[in-house]
Amino acid sequence: MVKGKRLGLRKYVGLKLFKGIYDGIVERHKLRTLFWECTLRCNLHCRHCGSDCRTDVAEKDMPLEDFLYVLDTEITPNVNPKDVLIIFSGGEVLVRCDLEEAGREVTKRGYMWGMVTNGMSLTRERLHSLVDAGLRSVSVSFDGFEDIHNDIRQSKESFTRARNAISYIREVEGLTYDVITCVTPAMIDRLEEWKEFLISEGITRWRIFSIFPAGRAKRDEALHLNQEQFRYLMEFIRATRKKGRINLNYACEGFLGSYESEVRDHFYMCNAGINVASIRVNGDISGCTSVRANYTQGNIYRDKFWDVWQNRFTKFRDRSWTKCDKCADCKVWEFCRGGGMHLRDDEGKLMYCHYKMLK
Amino acid sequence: MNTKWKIALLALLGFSTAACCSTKKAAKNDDKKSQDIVTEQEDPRIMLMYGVPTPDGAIARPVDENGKPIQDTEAKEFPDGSIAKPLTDEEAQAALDAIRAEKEAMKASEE
Repeated sequence: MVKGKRLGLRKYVGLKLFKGIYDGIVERHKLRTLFWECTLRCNLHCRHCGSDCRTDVAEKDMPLEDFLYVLDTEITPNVNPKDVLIIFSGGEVLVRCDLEEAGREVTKRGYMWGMVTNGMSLTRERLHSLVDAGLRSVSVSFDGFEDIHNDIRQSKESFTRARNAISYIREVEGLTYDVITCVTPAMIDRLEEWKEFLISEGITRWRIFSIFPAGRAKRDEALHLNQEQFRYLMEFIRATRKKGRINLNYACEGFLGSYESEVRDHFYMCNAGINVASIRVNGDISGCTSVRANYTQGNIYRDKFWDVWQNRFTKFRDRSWTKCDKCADCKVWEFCRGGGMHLRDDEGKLMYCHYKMLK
Repeated sequence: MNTKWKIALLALLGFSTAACCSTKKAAKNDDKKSQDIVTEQEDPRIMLMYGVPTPDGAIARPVDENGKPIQDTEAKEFPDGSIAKPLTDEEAQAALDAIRAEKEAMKASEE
């Protein structure tokens, strides 16, 4: 049976109970994930880039010592490092030559760290050197078959390089990884085939997201799924998870009505600013790195990170301001709270509603 | 109603994994030789759009095609203290075997 917006009693009660649990998480706002946007440089120019990354950017990489200074003076004294996962993000993180040094330094301080990469420059030797520097988890973007992936990534070599990178990662025992597919209209009819390909490559964890209107993706409508395609994607994820041959999750993007708990391991929640913080390449302090609009809460060169984390972030932790415009009369606002922060523009308007896509 | 009750009710409704997460952590015993796996309830760390999966292995180390650690790579002491360096190949192999056994046991219990 095709599902949609209608929740049903069991799910409604479940979401009501979860709402109370989520309130507690917000109140505690324990820092669990810290993004360090260490560069905006990138070796690709992807059509769907939410960060609008370029090979030549005006913003210089943040010096490692600046990040470590914040870590040592503001964060480590206030957290248990083993409870915080540091994610190096970009841009493409592998363009930084001092990534191993950064990894070693955060590992030495007791933090786990991981990175997201497009795989373009990940050789077996570089991977081993990163693992030696304490790399624990890695995600590789893999957007579909060669023609589709190379078209989105705008590089003839990107598919082969990403595939090689995944094979090197699989050789490292104990290294946690997954592959991320951004599903576009070109891929929607080939998802079954793509799933079989990933399984045949030995991949066990797979994450899917769809385009949200930010960065270059906003201007490229050929990448956007329509309602029918979006509904099909949800059905595909649900069916794949039931079969259990590969661990598939839809990303944390938005509230999904009756698909809640069936296309992800958890109920919908946006943890930006709740237990996720980021330090941007220019020192800005914000929630998740996917939040591209201006919800900056401070800057490490001006403010004390821990003071900002504890005492600001009001817009992230009290989302009552989102109950306006399209969300004003929405019946599921209490579960959705206005969707992910990354779906809000600079004026606070909702750019995309996943729930409405379910028609 | 406190959180424990809510979690219990969610479990009764069939939403135990959807509502919270429990993380498995490798911890060292006092003698710093054998490993125990303890389960700890924490605020969930969800899979973020630009994020990475929460590390679930006690060790990450390059191995060759037979699963044997590659000689010239260095083992790290990870935050959970599960593996201390320097490691001998035998110790690293034992740690990897323990992870494999744990994964198999989990798989068997799921089946």
